[in-house]
Amino acid sequence: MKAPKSSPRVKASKMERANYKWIYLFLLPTVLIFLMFYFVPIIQVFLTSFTKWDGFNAPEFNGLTNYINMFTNSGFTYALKNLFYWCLVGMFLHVGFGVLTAFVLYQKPRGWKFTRMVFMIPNVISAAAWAMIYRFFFSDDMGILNSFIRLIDPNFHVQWFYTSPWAFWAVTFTWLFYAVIVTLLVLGDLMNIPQELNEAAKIDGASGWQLVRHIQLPLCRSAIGTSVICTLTSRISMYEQISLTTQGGPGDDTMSLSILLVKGITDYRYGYANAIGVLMFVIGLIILGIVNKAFRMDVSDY
Amino acid sequence: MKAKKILASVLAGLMLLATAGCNNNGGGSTASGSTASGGSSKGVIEVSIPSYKTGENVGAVFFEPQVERFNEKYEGQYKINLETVPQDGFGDRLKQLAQQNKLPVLVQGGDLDWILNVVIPNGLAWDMTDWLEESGLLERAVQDSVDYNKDKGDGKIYTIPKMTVRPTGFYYNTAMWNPEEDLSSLTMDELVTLLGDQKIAFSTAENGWVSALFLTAFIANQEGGVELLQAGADEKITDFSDPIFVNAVASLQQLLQNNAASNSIGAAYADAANAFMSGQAAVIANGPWMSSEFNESNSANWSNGFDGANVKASLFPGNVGIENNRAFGEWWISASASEEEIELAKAFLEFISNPEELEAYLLAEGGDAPNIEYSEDFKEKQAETQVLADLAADTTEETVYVPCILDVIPNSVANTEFGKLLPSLANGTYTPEEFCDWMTQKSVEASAE
Repeated sequence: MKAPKSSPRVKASKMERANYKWIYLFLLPTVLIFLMFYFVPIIQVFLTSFTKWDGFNAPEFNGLTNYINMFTNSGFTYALKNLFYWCLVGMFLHVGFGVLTAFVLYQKPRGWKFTRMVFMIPNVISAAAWAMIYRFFFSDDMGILNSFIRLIDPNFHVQWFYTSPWAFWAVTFTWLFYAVIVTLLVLGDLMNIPQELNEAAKIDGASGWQLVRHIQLPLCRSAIGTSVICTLTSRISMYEQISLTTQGGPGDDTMSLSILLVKGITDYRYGYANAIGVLMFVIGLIILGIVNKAFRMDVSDY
Repeated sequence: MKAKKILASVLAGLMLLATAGCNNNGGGSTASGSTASGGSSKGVIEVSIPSYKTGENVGAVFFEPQVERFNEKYEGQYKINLETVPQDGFGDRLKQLAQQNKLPVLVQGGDLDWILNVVIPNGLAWDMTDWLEESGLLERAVQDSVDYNKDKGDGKIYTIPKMTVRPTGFYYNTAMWNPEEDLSSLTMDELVTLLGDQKIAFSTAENGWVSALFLTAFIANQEGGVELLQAGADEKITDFSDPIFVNAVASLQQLLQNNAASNSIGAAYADAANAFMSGQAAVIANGPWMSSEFNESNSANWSNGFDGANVKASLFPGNVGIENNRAFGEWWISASASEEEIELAKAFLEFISNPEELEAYLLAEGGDAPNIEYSEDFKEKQAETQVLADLAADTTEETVYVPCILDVIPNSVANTEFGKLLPSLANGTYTPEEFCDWMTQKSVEASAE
C-alpha cells in the first residue's frame, strides 16, 4: 500500500499559470548572472584543477598532480588544522558572543539602540583596515597592549604576530568580536517571537532563564544556524586578516588555504591554486550540509 | 491590464539589457587595444598607456614631467596620455589586458616569469632588434641586459635594454656614525665590527627588503657567492643548503640580533625608512631612488633632529652593488600595435634614451649610465647631491654587480616566505640551518610542476 503523500500537489489556478511566463522572465536575469558569474567559473576552476596551467597558455591535463602537491605541501596540514580551530572558535566564541549580545539587546536596556549602532560601526570598516589597526595594537614597540602591560612589567616584550603560539590568537582577535551580523540576525528572530508565547510561558511559571532556554533560543535556531554558516564560510575564505599581519607565519603557524591559493597564483600555478579552490568549495558544501542538518534549517517553527 | 503587461515587459527587458550590459566591453577599442586608445585626429597620433608612475607614486616625480616633455617636443605629431594604475595591481592589470588582447602600445614592465613564459612565447611583444641596431640605441645600452634579451628571446630583442645601472648600497647618518674608512673597500666582517652597536633599520615584514639586501651582500662577499647569485638570474635558486647561504644567514642573524633598530621585527619598508629618518637607526640599505628622501624639500618626513644633509651613501663591502643587469628593460612595444603607433612608441623610447633624458633621470633617481659621456653640467649637479656623488664615486669598473636574493628565488618565496621567517630567525627560534632548510623546502614546493 502506498503511503499517503504528506503534502498533495495543489493544481495551479489559471491565473497563476498565466503568471508563470512573467515569473520565468523576471527570473531569467538572475539565472543568467548565476550561470555567467558563478556556475561557469566554478566548472572552470574544477576542470583546470586537473591541469598544469599558468593562467594564460592553454592548460595541459596533468591528472591528480595538483591534488598530490596540495596534500603533500608542508603548509597544508597547518592550514587544515588552523581552519578547524578557527571554525571552533568562530562557532562557539564568535557566534556565542553575537548571540549573547542579541539577547542583552532584546531586553531593551537603557541605550540599547545606541549600543546596537555602535556595535555596527566595526562592520563598516574593512577586514584589511582592521588587520592594519591590529598590527599597531599588537606592536611590541608602540602597541597599546604591550605599552599597557609594560606599566606593570617594564621588561615585557612579546611580538604577538611573530611568535608561536600567540600569532594564532593575534590573528583570531582581528575578527573574533565583530559579530554584529550574528547579533542582527538573532535579534531579528527574537523580535519576531509572538509575545503570546513569552506571556504564556510566564503564566506557566517559567523563569527568565527557562524562557531563554526553552522558548527564545529554540525559536532563534534558524538565525543561529545561518550565523554559523556565515561564520564558518568566512573562516574558509579568510585572507586579508592573515595576509596583512602574519602572512601565514611564523613558520606556517597561521597558514590558511586562501594563503596557499594566492601563493600558487603568485608562482603562476593556476591549476594548483584551483585545486585548493576546489577543496575550499567542497569544505564549504560539507559545512553547509552539516549545519543545515544540525540546525534543522529546512524546518519551519511557525 | 494591458498597460501593466507593457510595463512588466519593459522592466524585464531592461533587466536583461542590464545583464547584457555587464558583459559589454564597450566596443570602441582599437586593434592595439585597450585602455590604449590608439587613434589619430588631425594628424596627431594619440595613445593612452597605463602606468603606475603617476600621481603620488614616487616614480611620478620624474616620469610625468618626462612624458610632458615628450608631448611638447612632438606637439602636433604624437601625444601620450597616462592612465593611472596603482603599482600593487599593475602587473595583474597588464595580464588582464593581454588576455583580452588589449595590450597598450607601450607596455611598462611586467614581471619576469610573465614576460618569459607568456609574452615572448605568445608573440605579444614587437621584435625591436633591427630598429635598435639601426637607431644606435644599443651603443648606449648595458651589455649584460642586451645579452640577456637575446638569450631569452632566441637572438631577438623584445624589450628595450637597460640604459642605466642603479646599484643598491646603503645609507648612513653621519650625525650618528661617521667612519673615516672607504666602506665599499672593506669586507662585511670589517663593516660589522666597525658598526659596533650602531642600529640598522631593518624591514622584516612584507618581503623583508632591507634584510634581503644585507643577506645578498653577505652572500656576495663569500667566495663563489657572486657566481651563485648571478647564476640565479638565469635559473631560480631552489637549494639553499650550500654553506655560502648558511654562513650568510648566520651573519644576518647576528646583525638582526645585535644591530636591529627597535621596530625592526614586523617592520615594513616604510617603518624601516621611518626609523632611519627619525634617528632611531644609523644605517639603512636601499636603492639610489631613496636619495630624494634626503632633500630639504622632503624634510616633513624627518624627525628627532634628523637632517638629510648628514646622510652619506656607500656600496656594500667588496665593492658590491646590488643590481641585476642580466634583466629585461622597462619598456616594450605591443606586437598588435599599428604602424603609426609603433612609430610613436619608437619616438618615445628614443626620447627617454637620449643622453639628456638619461642624465635628468640619473639626477632625479640616481644611478649610472655606463655608456654615455656625461656633460659637465650633469657632473656639477650630481656633485651637489651628497648621496648621489658618493654612489657615483663608488661605482667604478671594479664594481661587482649581483642581483638581489629576492630576484633569484621563486616569487612566492620572495614575496612572503623569506620575510615571514625573519622574525623567527631574529629571535633565535630558527637556526641558520633551519632557515635555509625552510627556504629550500618552500622553493621546491613553489617550483613543483
